[in-house]
Amino acid sequence: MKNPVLTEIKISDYSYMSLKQLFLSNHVGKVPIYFSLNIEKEELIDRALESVSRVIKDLGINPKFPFPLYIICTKRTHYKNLNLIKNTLQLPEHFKKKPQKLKNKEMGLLLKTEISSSRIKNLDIDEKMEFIKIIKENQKLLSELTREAYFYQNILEKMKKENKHGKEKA
Amino acid sequence: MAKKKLNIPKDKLKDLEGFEDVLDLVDIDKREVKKKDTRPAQNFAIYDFLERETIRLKKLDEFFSTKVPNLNENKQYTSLIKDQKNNRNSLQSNLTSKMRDPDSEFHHFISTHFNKFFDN
Repeated sequence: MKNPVLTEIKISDYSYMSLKQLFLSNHVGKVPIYFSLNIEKEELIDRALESVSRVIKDLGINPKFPFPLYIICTKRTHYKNLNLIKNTLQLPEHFKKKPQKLKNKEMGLLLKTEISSSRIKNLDIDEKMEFIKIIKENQKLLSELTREAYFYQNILEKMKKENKHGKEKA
Repeated sequence: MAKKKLNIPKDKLKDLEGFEDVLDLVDIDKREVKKKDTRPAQNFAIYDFLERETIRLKKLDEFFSTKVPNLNENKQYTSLIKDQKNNRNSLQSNLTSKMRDPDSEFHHFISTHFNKFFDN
């Protein structure tokens, strides 16, 4: 297994087959990877991103877990579930390490990471993410309802207090 | 073995007058020299990174394989939302009924303001 440090790949051809080949040979999904989208034309950007999205879907790779795939793109901020960033400064510091030969102790740790990452890969992450999204929306709704109820409760309490004062004065 | 001669500047030699006997006791050759560490520098950066990575992946695994399915099985939010909707509706109706009352503070407040506005 490769050491999971951030690695850059160069892409010149964004056709489905060449991307698939490149992703397989560079262990995309098994190590954190980033590449720069050096395309100027707006239409071609969308086509390239669509192609990347299709390839990772067909290969069963989640662009976020266990290891992320980052795409440096200055003209887009969101595209489906892809991780688009503006520049290399936005890459996570955690993965920025120099690749080096590992010792026995480190190899043991690497084996552990491999086991955990393969366990995560076997889970249906997309389905779980969809479920998390539903939970998020429901939590938001619950929060709004609670806030509204608290607002009414406050008004009612104030009215009660005012009434009491009014009666005492009378 | 011939003794090594100490090179002391002339102006400082005066200060050492009277200490000649003590200076003879100083062994120049056996001065303590710090040994250089010849062992290769141990770099724990990659070990530390892999350790943190193991923890991160373990937590992710636990989250996706235990916590998320648990949340799915015990959907608390549906009943909570239902309760909260009922609570909100009862508070709303309570509030509106109190506001609709002609003797209410709200009516009184609105009527004084209207009267002030139209009187002027």
